[in-house]
Amino acid sequence: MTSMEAIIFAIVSLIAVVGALGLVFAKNPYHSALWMVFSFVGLAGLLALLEAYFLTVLQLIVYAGAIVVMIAFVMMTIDFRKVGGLSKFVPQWLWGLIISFGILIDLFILASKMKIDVSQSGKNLAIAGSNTKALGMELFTHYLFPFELVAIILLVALIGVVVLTKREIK
Amino acid sequence: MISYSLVDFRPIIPELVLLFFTFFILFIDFAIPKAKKKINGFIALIGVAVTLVVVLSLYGSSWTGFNNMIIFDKASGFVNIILLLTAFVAILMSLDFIKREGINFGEYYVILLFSLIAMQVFCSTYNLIVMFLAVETLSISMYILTAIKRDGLRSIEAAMKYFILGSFASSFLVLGIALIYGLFGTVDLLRVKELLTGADSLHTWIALVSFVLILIGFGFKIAAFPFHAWTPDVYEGAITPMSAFMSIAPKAASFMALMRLLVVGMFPIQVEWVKLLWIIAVFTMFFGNLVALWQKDLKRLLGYSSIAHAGYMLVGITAANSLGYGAVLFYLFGYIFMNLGAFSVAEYISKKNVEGCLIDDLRGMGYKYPLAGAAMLVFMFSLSGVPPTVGFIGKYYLFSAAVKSHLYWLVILGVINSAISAYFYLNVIVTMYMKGGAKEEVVSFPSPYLRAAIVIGAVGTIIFGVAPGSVLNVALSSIVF
Repeated sequence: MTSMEAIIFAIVSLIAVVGALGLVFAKNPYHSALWMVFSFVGLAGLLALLEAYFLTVLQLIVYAGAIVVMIAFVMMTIDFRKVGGLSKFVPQWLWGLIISFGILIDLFILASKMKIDVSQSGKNLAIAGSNTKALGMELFTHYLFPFELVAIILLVALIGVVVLTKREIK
Repeated sequence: MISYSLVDFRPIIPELVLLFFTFFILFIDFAIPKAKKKINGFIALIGVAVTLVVVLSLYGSSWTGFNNMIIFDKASGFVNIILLLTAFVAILMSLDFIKREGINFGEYYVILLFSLIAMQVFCSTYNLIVMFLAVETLSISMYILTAIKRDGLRSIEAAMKYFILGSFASSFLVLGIALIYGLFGTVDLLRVKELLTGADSLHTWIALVSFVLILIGFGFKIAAFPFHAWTPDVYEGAITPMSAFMSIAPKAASFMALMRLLVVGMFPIQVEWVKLLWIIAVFTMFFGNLVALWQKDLKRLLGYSSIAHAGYMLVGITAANSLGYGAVLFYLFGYIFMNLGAFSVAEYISKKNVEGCLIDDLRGMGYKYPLAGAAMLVFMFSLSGVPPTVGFIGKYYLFSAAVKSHLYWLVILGVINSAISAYFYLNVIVTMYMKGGAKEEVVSFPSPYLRAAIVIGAVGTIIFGVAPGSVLNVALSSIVF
C-alpha cells in the first residue's frame, strides 16, 4: 500500500466510522438517515480501494440511494413527534454492546491470524481487466437461469402489492 | 464461453407450460366481467391438468439444462405430480369459496400458479442459488396468499407473523449458502460433495455449521420442531383452500430439496446429519402430537398434526437408505388425499367470514351429512394410520426403512406418537357421531367443486390404501441418488 493509498484509506474509513457513530447517536431520526448516507459513501470508498468497482457503484446506487429513500419514506408515515419522544436505546443495549465488541475483537484476531495480503486485493475477480465486465459475463452466461428466476420473484412481489392494497372504487 | 440451445429448455418444459397458463390468466383477467371471474379458476384448473399430463408423459426421462442449474429426473417428476395434484384439488376447493368470501380476483390464481412454478424449480435442482431463489419466490407467494383475505384480522396477523419469521429463516439459509460458497467456491451440490469428501477437519467443521444454517431455512419450510411456530397460526388464519395447499405443496418440494441437499451434497457428513435429524424428528413428532391434544379448532389441530407428520417423514430421511427416501415420497403422495380431504371437510362446514372452524361445530355432522361425515371418518383414520388407508401404508414403509437402518428407538418413539395421535383424531370422530346435536345449526357450504374435492380425497385415501402397489413402486424406484 502506497502512502497515497494509505491517506485515502484513512479518509474514507474515517467517513464510514464517523457516519456510523452519527447514525447511532443522532437525536433526530432524519439526521440518523443522513448520517447513514454519509457512512455508506465511506463504505463505497473502501470498496473502491479494494478495486471492487461494481460493488462500489451498487453501494452508492442501492444503499445510499434506494434504501435510504425507503427508510425516509417509512419515517414519513410515522408521527415524527412520537418518534422523538422515545428513549434512544432499547433496554438491552448493554448486550448489544458486548456482542458487537465481541465481533470487533473477533475481526481483529482473524485479521492478524490470517495475515491478509492487502497487495493482492481485488485481483481475484479482475481477471478480464474490468471486474464489472467479468461479473456481467458470469451473470448472463453461467448464472442465466437464476437471473431469469429473479424476474419471476419481482413480478410476484409486484402483483402481490397490487392485490393486497387495491381497494374497490365505490 | 457458455452457449445455450433449445436442448436446455427440456428440463423446464413443465414449468414453461404452467407459466404460459399463468400469463394467460394475468392478461385475460382484465377482459373478464366481475360476475364471471370464475373463468380464471377454470383456466387455472385446465393449466394444472395439462401440466400434469405433460409431466406424466415426460416421466422417466433424465435431462439437465442451463449449465446444470436445473434437472429433470424421476424424483422431480414424481414430486411434480404431487404438487400438481395438490394444486388441482386446492383450486377445486377455491372456486366457490373465494367468491363467497369476496376475494374473487384473477391474481389469486396467478400467484398460486407462480408459487407452483417456484416449487417445481425448487424440487428439481442441485444448485443452492437456484434453490434459494425458488424458496424466496414460493415464500413471497405464500405470504401473499395468506394475506389474500385483506379485511380479515386473523389472516393479516397470520401473514405478518409468517412474513417476519420467514424472512428471518431465509436469512439463515442465505448465510449458510454463502459459507458453502466461501468454503468450496461453488454452489453446485454435486461439486460440493466431491470437495467435501477430501476436505480437512476445519473445512468439514465449517461445512457442518453452514449445513445447520441451511437446515434452519429448510426446517422452517417443512415446519420441523424448533422452526414450527408459524404453522398453527398460518393454517388457522389463511383461507381454508390455502391452508390445505400450504400444508402439502411447499412441504413436498422442500422435502425433495432437503433430500437432494442431504443425500448428495452432504453425503460425506452423513454420520453427523443422521444424528441431528434423529433429534429433530423425535422432537417434531412429540411436539406436534402432544400440543394437538389440547386444540379446539379443527384447522389449528390440522396445523399441529401437519407438524407431527413432518416428523414422521423426517424418520424416513433419518433412515438414510433409498427405501426411506422412497417412502417419504409415497407418504407425501398419500398425504395429499387425507390432508386435503380433511381441510375440505373443514371448509364444507365453515361459516362466511369466519377463519377458524371449531371441532365442536362438527357435533351431529355424521348424521346430518352422512357422506361428508363418512369421508371425515376415513381422513381421520388415515391420518392416525389405521389400515386399510393410505396413511397406514405410508407410515409402515417409513418405519420399516428406519428398522432397516437399525434405528429401533426412533421407530418405537414414532409408534408411541402414532398412538398419541389416535386420541385427538378419534376425538373428532367421536364429536361427529356421539356427542349429540350441534348448539347452532350446522350449515354446509353448497359447492359441487368442494364436494368433488372431498370425494377425490376419500376415494384416493382408500384406493391407495387398499392397492398401493403401482404408486409405491413408482415412488420407490424414482429415487436414483
